[in-house]
Amino acid sequence: MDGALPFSDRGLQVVALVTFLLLGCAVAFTLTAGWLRAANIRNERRWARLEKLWEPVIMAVLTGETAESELRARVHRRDHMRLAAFLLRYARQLKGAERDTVLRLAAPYLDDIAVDLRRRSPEIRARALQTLGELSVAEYSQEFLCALDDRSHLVAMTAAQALARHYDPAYADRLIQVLNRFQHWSIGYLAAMLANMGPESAPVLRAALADSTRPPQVRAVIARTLTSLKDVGAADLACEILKSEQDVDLLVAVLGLIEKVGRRDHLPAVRELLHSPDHAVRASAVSTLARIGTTADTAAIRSALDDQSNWVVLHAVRGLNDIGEADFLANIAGSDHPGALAARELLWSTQA
Amino acid sequence: MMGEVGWFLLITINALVLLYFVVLNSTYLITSVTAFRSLRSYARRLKTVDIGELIRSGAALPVTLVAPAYNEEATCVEATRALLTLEYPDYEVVIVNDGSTDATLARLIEAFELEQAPRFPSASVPTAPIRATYRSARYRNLWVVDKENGKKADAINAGLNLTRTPLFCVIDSDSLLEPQALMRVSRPFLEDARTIAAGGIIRIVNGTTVNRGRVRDVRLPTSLLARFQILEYLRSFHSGRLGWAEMNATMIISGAFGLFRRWVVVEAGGFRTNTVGEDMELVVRLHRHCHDNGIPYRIVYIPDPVAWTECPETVRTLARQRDRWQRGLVETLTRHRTMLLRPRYGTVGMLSYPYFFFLEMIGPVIEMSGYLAFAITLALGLASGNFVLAFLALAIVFGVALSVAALGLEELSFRRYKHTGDLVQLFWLAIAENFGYRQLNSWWRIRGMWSALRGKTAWGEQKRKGFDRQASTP
Repeated sequence: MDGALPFSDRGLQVVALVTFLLLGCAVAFTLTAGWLRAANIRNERRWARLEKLWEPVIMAVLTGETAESELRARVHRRDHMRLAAFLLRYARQLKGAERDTVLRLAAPYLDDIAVDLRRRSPEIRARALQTLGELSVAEYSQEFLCALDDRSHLVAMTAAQALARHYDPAYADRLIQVLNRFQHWSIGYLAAMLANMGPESAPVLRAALADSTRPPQVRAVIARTLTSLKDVGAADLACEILKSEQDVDLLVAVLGLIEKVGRRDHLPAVRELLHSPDHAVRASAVSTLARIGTTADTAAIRSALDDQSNWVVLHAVRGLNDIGEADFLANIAGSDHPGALAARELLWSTQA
Repeated sequence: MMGEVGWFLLITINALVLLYFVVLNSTYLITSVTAFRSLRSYARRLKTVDIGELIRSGAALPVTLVAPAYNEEATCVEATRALLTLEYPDYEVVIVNDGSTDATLARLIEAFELEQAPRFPSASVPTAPIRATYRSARYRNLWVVDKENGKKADAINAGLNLTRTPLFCVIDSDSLLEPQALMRVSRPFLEDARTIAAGGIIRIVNGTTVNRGRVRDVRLPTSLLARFQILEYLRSFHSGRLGWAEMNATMIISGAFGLFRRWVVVEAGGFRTNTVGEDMELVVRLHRHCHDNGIPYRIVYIPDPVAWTECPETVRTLARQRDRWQRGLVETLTRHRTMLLRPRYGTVGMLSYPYFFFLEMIGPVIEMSGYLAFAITLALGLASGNFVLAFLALAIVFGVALSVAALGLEELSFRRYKHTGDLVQLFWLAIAENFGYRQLNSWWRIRGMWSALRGKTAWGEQKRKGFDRQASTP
């Protein structure tokens, strides 16, 4: 014990230095936040003033009281991007001739937005694509197709969404190709996006579904899309897939497609799946049988009530109700069968 | 001999405190910098997202909102009404009355015209007995489960059993979700099917004006204690959680607002009922479950979906809350200690787990020992007063810098405190909290550790004012 802890003067100097550095940082943060607040308030006021100035002119152009050139005359070059964003709001809400007028009003400013497609930040590129996607896909179709190969998934997805909304047969192949990049995205989300292409895209989608070299996730997306499009022509193909594939997501999606557009000659393949080891496949098979099956399938659906998975029981109860087995369900509901509560719930909801 | 032992102890404690201080603040600094990068890019990215378009697209995954309620008669009707007005295309609300002893169930039955209706479970996680299930005659997507008391986690499990949607959202029945919160928090599940859990930000409602279940004017509360907590929440969510999420090492999704993939939670066994930190315990267990079973997964935090919640305004209630949080932390970290510093658990095992274990769990003890050791060192004249003062100044300035950085992040991104006076107040609080509030917090956390070691399991109640009474007086 020599009377003092081993804290040297050098240590004190270091502590003091770090303290001053941090103090500097704290002051800098404070000043930055203050500056941000002031800048934001200034910007908000400015935009509010500009929008107040533009809004009556746009309304007058839309009602035909003022020429389109009137708006252009009131917009300073530095405000082009802001005006395009403002017009975007109208474009999203309007339809028909009024929307066309808004697109014409926005047209002179789109090249300024397209410049952002070359920016480093993927978020800025995506935002530019989103704006262009609402205001003029046809004019910039090449940029959109290139963006499908962008290194950022966000940018590629934004481009895909815009191209799907403005379907052209030339885009379909590229869109399906690019799905490989989005294998982690939700199947439902991607299917909803592709469904925007409409029934004209069905032949391309069918060909992609038939292609067994594609990843099962992609084929599941396509099957879900064809289900949304109620594509009767895909039913036979779906049946073939049921016979040969093992992937659960794909099987469930294809069963959903058959449930929507299938025929009785597809029943044997569906019946096979009642014994699938996966409960999601069994549940979908039960629903599909209830929709397209015959009286010969009633017994199979009834026995699904004994399935160990509650999901299968729920599908079975709904299926039995759909095929008019209400009396059977009433009996089950009054018994001590494990599916009694499910039957009671269904009967209660149909009465309510 | 005694003198030498004392001397050695003093040196060790001082060294430990210094090491703790350096590591803790370096971690805060790293998460703050990471959060800054992440928040900047996220704020930009948000501009590319059209929430309305997402809602209309039909791509949204169906969600069941599970809200456990225990003696919530003051807030349950308004909070439920707010849940029914969310902007989301396909969702159900399941309120679980966990054996309330007040009029919670009666209020709900009357307000929503509930009638008894059977409901078949989709899973069978064990829970306390269910007395009855009800469905609203007015709102077909509203269900109420009346069950015997089994505490919060048990109530959530009862809701989980009745969930039939791919996603289920846990919220406190006294929390207020912003209308687009559900759509925003569900976005990661659309963008990456490996996402199994996502949490949003919890903001403090005290002081703000709430009208018909919607937050109208965000203001600071009059209570100083509540103001400190606002700053604390901003720091914790903007700097802490966002930073950890960026490193794919999220360990906590608040029980007040979290969205989960149903199947994985059921497979992991639901919420643990014998802990008071069931939210953190579940997230840690999900990490462990997915790693152990080779399930590819992501657990994320995103800063724009907001749930507003009421914070304690009395020292006693706040002390009880912090005691409970610390007990939850201790219980979770000791239960899953096998994950500590194990590379097979990735960044969680190697980064966030050690951080929570050594710095958040044991930290308060080191901090309080540090105050004591410094006082002794100074009293015995073993170190120069200048050094001790310089070190204390450094500790305070570091704390202030981190708080101010969190405020800067708020200003950079969401700017909820529109009144400039409130922002100035928050900057002032960043300094003031270092003199008393921070030390009190450490003391409460030490007491929480002690409670955990004694095996205390009580929750401790917080009397709610109700959202209508949150409006600040003009």
